[in-house]
Amino acid sequence: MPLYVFLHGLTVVRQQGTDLEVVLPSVSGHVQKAGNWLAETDIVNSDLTLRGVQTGNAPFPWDSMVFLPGTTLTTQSRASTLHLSTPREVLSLLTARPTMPPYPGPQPLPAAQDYVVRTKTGGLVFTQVASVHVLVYDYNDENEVFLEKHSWEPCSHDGAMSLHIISTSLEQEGQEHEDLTETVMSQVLQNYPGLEFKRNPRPLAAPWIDPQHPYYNNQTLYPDGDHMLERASGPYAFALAELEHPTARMLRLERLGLMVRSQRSIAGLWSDPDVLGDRVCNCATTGTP
Amino acid sequence: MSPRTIDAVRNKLVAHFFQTNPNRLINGIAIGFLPEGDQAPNPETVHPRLLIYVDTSAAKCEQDAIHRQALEVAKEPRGHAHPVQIVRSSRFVALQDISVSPSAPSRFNVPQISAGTLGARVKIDRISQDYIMSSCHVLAFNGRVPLQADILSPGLIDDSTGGSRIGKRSYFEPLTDQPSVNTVDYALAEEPRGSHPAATLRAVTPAASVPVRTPVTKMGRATGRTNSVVWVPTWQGPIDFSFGTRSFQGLVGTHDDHNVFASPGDSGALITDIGQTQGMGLVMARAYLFDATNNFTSYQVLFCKLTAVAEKLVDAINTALNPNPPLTVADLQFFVDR
Repeated sequence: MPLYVFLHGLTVVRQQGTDLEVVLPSVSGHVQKAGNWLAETDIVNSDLTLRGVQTGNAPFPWDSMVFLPGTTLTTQSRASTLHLSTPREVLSLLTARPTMPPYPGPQPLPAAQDYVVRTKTGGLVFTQVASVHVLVYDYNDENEVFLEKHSWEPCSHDGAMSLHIISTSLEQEGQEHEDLTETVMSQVLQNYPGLEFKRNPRPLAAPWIDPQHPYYNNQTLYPDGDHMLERASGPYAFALAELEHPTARMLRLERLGLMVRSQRSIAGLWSDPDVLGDRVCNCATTGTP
Repeated sequence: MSPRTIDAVRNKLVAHFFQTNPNRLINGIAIGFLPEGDQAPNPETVHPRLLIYVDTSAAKCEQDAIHRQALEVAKEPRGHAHPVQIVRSSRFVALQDISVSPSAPSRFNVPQISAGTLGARVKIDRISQDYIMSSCHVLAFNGRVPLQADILSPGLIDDSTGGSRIGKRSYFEPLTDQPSVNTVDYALAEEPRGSHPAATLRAVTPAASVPVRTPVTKMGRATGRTNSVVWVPTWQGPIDFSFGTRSFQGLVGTHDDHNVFASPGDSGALITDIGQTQGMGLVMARAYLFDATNNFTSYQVLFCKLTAVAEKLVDAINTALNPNPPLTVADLQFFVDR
């Protein structure tokens, strides 16, 4: 039976042995929430521990995120810390790359443009950054699964459960917020080198509504209607829409209210291509040794 | 070859839509009598129909495709074919009332506060035990509530200081996530023997059957005393609980127009005949029904049969206590408060 833990937004991950420490930085404007999809509730405790799942042996995919060797976690500027065990698998989905397909195409980008994120000193360059990481766990008894010190009520459908962790703004933010995020990250991580996200244009992640997109980035899942299935086991796993960034989701739900009030059709709200999915910011999963 | 019975066709539809070609837009499959449009059901002249509950989110083309598939499955080689009616509905959702508490414990995976109805009392003299009966999703949360946990009445929604401890969580029937094997939703709270003198109770006998057009009544925490009529004698499909979705079969449904027979907080209420001598079942879940243009037409409340509950309860006690001779359904005495 799988449990899917979704990391949305700004997190800092450290893997030590079989333990994963996931820090949610305290950035003004960010919310920290956990829970079932569309029913996440505020995280009010500083330390949460996921219980009742089996320890796996999947290494965290440092190559699909911003991994910063030479940094170390401090205890400062944390909104909360999640203590997880090593999952069975980590899915790195909705990857952002310097350009959309048909990249690299006949004319590769010049090296100076070929990045999504780089350190301000220029020492490290990241050419693919997943916008959502999904940690896959197995459990024997769903009644024994809980997030200690949080009021999450696990909810299973066809034997699968989802836990969403949100650490980002629910409103669109601007440059001031991104600068603030940089300041906080320099407090969360000692020796933080500073990050520069590519601009003009800012790289876009693969849209969550298009599992066929080459940068969707995982061939072990395949879509069946609105759901993603695991090829090996076959049970319903999670809905495509669960991958949507929380800020885009909030905009979509606000628009849903407007459409309902104006008595317009909402048939395509969750399925039609939508620019709302192209949300870009500097809230990403960051790794530290 | 003689025509198949309507039950046989229903089973084929269930196999098709819930197993071989699972369709998330189908909220249930039933046999019953429901009005089409504004026409009131008249079972004197209308034969029972196969009912397929299609979610209101289904587009017209999706609904038409489901209807075509259903007609194909229901088609007989020649002659009579059972009618198939598409019913637009919401999903069926369990009827416990939940809320939040500022003092949730750290080890926590059930709603902070859950309230339902303590629908019946069960006395079993053979093992010298008295119980209060409600729903699994009210008292046990499918096993997440520890054995012997305190049950309060009134609950914390109705009395923020907490009511009296009236019992402790006891037997319940686990709700599995296997397709269509769940038939009941009950849990017991053990109460001190003899807490309620016989003069304060009214004996109720499990009804052998729950036929169509049976007038029924119930007393629930949320809506008090309300009456309804059984129009769907056999329903099968998924029900959403706070802890997940589970599939059921053999449930019974009312059809209430715009009258609220049961609402959140009424789960666990015992449904009886109007005279309160025969127990029909325990309130479980509710859905909204709509017409073809998505205008609300009726509530439908589902309940599990008391006879099925009694059989499962006897099995559970026999397994746990191994009495000699084993308990039978006849050893269970059901009561409602006068």
